[in-house]
Amino acid sequence: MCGILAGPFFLLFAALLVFVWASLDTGTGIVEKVRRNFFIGDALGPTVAGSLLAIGAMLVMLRPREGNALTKANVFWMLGLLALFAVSLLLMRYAGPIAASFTETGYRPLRATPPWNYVGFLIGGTVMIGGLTGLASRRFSLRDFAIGFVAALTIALLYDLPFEDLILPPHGDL
Amino acid sequence: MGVPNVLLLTLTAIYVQETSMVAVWITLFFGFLGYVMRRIGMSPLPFVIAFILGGNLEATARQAFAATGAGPFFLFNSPIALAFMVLAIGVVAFSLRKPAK
Repeated sequence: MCGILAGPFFLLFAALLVFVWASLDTGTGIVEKVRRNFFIGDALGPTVAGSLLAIGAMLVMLRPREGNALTKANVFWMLGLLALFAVSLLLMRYAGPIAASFTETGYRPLRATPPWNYVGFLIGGTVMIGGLTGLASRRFSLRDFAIGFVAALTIALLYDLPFEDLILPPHGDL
Repeated sequence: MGVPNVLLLTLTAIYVQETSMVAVWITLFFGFLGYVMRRIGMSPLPFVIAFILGGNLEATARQAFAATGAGPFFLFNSPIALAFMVLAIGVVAFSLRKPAK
C-alpha cells in the first residue's frame, strides 16, 4: 500500500517543489548573471533536489513491490503516540496558567516562583512518561505515572536548580 | 521503562536550548519520519547524511562553479571530479539491481 502511494506522492511533491515552491521562494533563478559573470542562483539547489526526487519517485513506481509495508497496526500505533504527545504537551503548556487562573494575581507574576513554575512541566511530563510506558506495555498503571512524576520532578530540578538562565517548558512560550 | 524518561530529558534539553515548543514538535516529527522510514525498509542514514551535508554541498558547489569559470559542466572538467561522478552514479545503479536469488 505504501509503495503504491509513495511514488506518485513524491513525484507530485517534486513537481510542486521545482515549479511552484522554488520559484516563489527564491529571488534569483537557476543561474544569475552579475557583471558579465555567471553565478549559481538560489533556485539551482532546490531544482536539482526536486529532479532527483522525481527520478527516485519514478524508480519506486517502476520497481516491483517488496516485503516491507506500513500496516494498519503501525498507523494506529503512530496515531496513539501522536495523541499522547499532543495531550501531554498541551497539559505542559496550559496546566500552569489554568491552575493560576484560580488565584488573584494570575500566572505571569507567579511563573518564576515555585511551585507554579513546575506545575505545567510536572503534569505534562508525568502524563508523557506514564502514558508511554502504558502504551508500550498495553496496560496503564498508577505505578508508571508515579515513576513519571518522580522522573519529571528530577529532570525539572536538574535543569532549574543549578542554572539560573535556563527556562523550563513552557515558560519560553508564555 | 528508561526510554520514556530519556525521551523527556531529551525534549527538555531541546526546549531549554530553543525555548520554543515548535522545536519539540519538529523533533517529534522527525521521530515519526524515522519510524515510517524503518517500517517501509528505507534506511534513515542517507537522509541524515544528506540533511547534515546538504548546506555545505550547495555552498561548495557555488564556489566550484565560480572558481572553474562558470561552465555548465564544471563537475566534469577535471579527471578526478569525473571519476568521482562516475563512481557516484555507479553506486546508485549498483544498489538498484535486484539481489541474486
